[in-house]
Amino acid sequence: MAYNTLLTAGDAIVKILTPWGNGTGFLLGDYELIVTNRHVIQGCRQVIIMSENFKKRTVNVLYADPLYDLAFLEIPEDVAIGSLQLAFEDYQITQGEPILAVGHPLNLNYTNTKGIVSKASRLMGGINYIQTDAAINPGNSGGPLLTSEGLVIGVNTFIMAAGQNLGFALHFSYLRQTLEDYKKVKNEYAVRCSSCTNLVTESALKNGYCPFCGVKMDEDDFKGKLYLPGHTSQKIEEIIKKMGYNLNMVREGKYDWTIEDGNLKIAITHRPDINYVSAECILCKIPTEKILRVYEFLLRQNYKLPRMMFSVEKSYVIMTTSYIKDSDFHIDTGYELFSKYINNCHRYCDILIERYYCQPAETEE
Amino acid sequence: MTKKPARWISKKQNSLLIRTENIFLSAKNLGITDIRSEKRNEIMSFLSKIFNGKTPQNGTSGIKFGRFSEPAETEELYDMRTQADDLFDKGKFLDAYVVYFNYLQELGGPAVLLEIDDETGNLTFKLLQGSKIVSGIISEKEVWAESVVAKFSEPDITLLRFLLGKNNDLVYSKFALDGNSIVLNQRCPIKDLSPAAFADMLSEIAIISDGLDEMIEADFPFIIPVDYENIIPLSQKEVLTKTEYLRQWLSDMFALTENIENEPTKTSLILGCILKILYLISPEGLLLNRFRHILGHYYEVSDQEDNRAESNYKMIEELKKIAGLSDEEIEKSLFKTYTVFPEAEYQRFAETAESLTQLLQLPVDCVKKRMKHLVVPMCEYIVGIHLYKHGMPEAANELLLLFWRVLNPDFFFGLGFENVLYNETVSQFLKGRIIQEIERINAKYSNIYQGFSFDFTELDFSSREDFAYTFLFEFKNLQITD
Repeated sequence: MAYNTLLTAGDAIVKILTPWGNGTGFLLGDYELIVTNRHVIQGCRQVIIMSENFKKRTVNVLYADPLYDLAFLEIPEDVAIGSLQLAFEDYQITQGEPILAVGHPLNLNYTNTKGIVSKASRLMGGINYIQTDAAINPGNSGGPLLTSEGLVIGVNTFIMAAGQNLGFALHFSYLRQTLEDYKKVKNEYAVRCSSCTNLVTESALKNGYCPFCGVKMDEDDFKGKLYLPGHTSQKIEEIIKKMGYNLNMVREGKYDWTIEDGNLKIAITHRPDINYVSAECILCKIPTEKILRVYEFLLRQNYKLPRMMFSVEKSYVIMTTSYIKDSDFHIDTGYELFSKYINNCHRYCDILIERYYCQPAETEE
Repeated sequence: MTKKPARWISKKQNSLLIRTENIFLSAKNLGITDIRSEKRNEIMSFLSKIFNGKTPQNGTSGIKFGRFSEPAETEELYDMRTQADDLFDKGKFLDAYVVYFNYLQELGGPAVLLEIDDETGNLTFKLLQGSKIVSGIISEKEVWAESVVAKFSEPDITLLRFLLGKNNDLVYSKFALDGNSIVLNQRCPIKDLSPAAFADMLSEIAIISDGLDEMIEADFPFIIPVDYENIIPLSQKEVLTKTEYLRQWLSDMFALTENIENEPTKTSLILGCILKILYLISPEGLLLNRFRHILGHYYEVSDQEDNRAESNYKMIEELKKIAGLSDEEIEKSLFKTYTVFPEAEYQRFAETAESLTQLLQLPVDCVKKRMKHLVVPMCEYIVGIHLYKHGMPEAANELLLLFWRVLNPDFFFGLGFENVLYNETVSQFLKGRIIQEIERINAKYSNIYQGFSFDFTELDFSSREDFAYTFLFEFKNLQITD
C-alpha cells in the first residue's frame, strides 16, 4: 500500500477543539473548506483548530448537518494548509480494500490507523456507511477514511461501542452531495433540515422553524450551544484568565486545558473521577550521556519541591504538580500554584538544558 | 490556630497523644528542612515508646488473622472526620489536623503518634504501616510527610530511572532522594491540603512504601533495606505452627492441582491456597510481597481465559520456590505489624451476600463433576477472596473465623485454640461446641443488627464438604444491615 504518498495527508488534517472535547477535520481543496462531523463541533458556531503546521486558530463553523452528521468549517486565511481530494464519483469501494483512518484517537495527535473495508455498504438508519476494521477511537471522529492512493472515501463517524474494531464512515457520496448543496448557499451559515433535507440559512430561518417544511430546527445549531463549565472547571478557567491567557485558545475539552507559554505546553486536567486537579509539562529530553547525574538531580529536587514532582517517561523529563483535591482548590491558591508551577517549569527547563545538556523536547502538537 | 487545642485533646483518655515542653524536634518556626535527619534518628525511640515492654502474648488473644481491612465507620468516627473538615473550612488548620489525628488513633490505635509543640502549636506525627514508618510535620503553613523506603551506597542508574518512572504512577506523593535514602514524600502548603486530601496522601505514602520496598530489593539487590521488622515478634509456638501449615497447605494444593486439567478450577485452588495462607498465616515482609507478586500473575490475566494456563504455571512455579525455602527463611517473615491505613475497603454485607450467592455455584459444580473432594478447598477459596478484597462487619468476621477453625482444627490447636471443634482423628464434628460458638456470636450481635441470627439448624454435619457448603449458604442469608 502506497502509504508513503499519504505523508502529505497529515498537512490537510486538523485537530478541532471545543469546550466539550476534540475531534478531527480535513481540508478539501476543491471546495475550500474543512470537513468534520457535526457531533465534533457540538453546536458551536466557532471552534478552535490546530495542525502540525500551525498553532491554534479560531474559525467559524459554516455548516451543520444533523442528518449526515457533517459540519464544514472555514479555512483560516493566515496559514498554509495541505489538501485532500475526494474520490471520483464512480469510485467503487470493495470489500477487503486497504484503508487508512487519520485522526487524533484518545488525544494521540495525527495518528494513522490502518485497516481494511469489512463491508463496503452498511445501511444504518437509511444511510450508507463503510464498515472498517480499523481500530478507531474517540478523537478519530470527523477524520477522513482514505484509500491507498490517498483519496477520501468516507468521514469516520462512529464506532460500535460493544464491538472490537468496528468503525463506520459516512460514504463519500453523501459528502459530495452535501458539498454540492452547500455551494448554492456559500458564504452564509446553513443547517440541513433533518425532516425535508433542504439547507436552511440563518436569514431564511423562520422564527426557529424550517421555512420549507415547518419543522422546529435545533436551536443550538443556529444560536450556538451554551457552555457552562462545572464548579471546578469554572475556577480553573478563572485562574487561566487571571494569568492572562486567552481562555478560548487554552480550553481543550470539558476537563482539559493546555497553556502554551513560550516553548512549553502546560496541560491542566481536572479528574472528576478522583476529585483532583493537576498540571503537567514535558520539559525536555534526557541527554545522551551523563544521564545518571540528571536523574539524581531530579530526584533530589523532588525532595525539596513543594507540590511538584519530576518523572521520566520514555525520553521525556516531565514535571507535574501533585494533585490538589478539587474541594481544596481555590482561585487564589490555584493561581499561586499554577503561576509558581509555570515559573518552575521554565526555570528547570533552562537548568536542565544549560547545565545538564538535556535536549529540547519535540512535543506533540 | 486558636492555640488552645489542649482542652479538647485532653478529654481523650488513654490517648497516645503526648504533650511535651521539649518536643524532640526543633519545630520552632518550622525549620522543616533542618529537622529531617534528627527526625529519622528518633524513629527507633518512637518504636520503643510504642512497643517497649510488650512481649508476645500467651493464649490466642494476640493472634492476628488477615490483613487490615477497613472497618465499618462508626457514628463517632464519622463525626470526628466531619469535625476535622469543618475546622479546616473555617481556616483552623492545625485544630482540624489534631481532630483528624484523633480519628486516625481510633483507627490505628498505638500505630499513630502525635506530638504537639506547646510553643508553636506545630504537630509532629508518626504512623506505622507494616514494616514502614510515615513521619512528618504540620505547621500553620505547611505539611510535610515522608517514608524512607530503602537506602543505597552509590546512586545506580537503573534504580534512579525506576524511581523516576514510578513517579508517573503516583498521584499524591513522589519518590525522591534525601542523602542516600530513597524516600516517598510530599510537601504542601497547609491551606491546599484538607485532612481529607492529607488522608489520600498519607495512605498512598504508607501503602506504597510498605508494599514496594521488597520489590525494589528484589530488582535492585544492592540497595539496603530500611525495615522495622520484628516489631512485634510472635510466640515460638505460633511461628512453628504457621511454618508447618504454610508448607502443609502448599503441599496439599500441589497434590490437588497436579491432575486437574480444567485451568479455571486450578486457578481457584491455587488462589484459595494463597488467600488461606495470607489470612491464617498472615506473613509479613518478604514473604508477603512474594505472595502479592504471585497474585499479580492472576490479576494480569484475570479477564483472559486463554492465558490462564500460563498464569497458573507461573503461580505454581513461584509457590514451589516458597515451599523450598528453609524454615529460617520463612520464619523471618512471621511477625506482626501495626497498620493505620486499611488495604481492603469495607463492603456492605448485602454486596458480600450477593457475590457469595454467585460463587457458591463453584462447589455445586464440583459435586456435579464428581469432584466432591474439591468442595472444601473451593469453599475456602470463596471465603478467602472475600476476606482479601473487603472489610466486613465484625459479626461476619467472627463467623468466618469459626468456619476456618472447624475445617482446620489442628492448625488452630497448634496456635493455642484449645476449644477444638472437629476431631480429625475420627473425622467427627464436635457439634455441641460448634453450636455453642454460634450461639455466642448470635447473642453478641443480635442487639447490634436487628434480626441477626445464624441458623445452625440448617448446617449439615454429615461430612466436611456438606458442612462447608451449608455453612456458607447460611452465612449469605444473614441479616446484617450495615
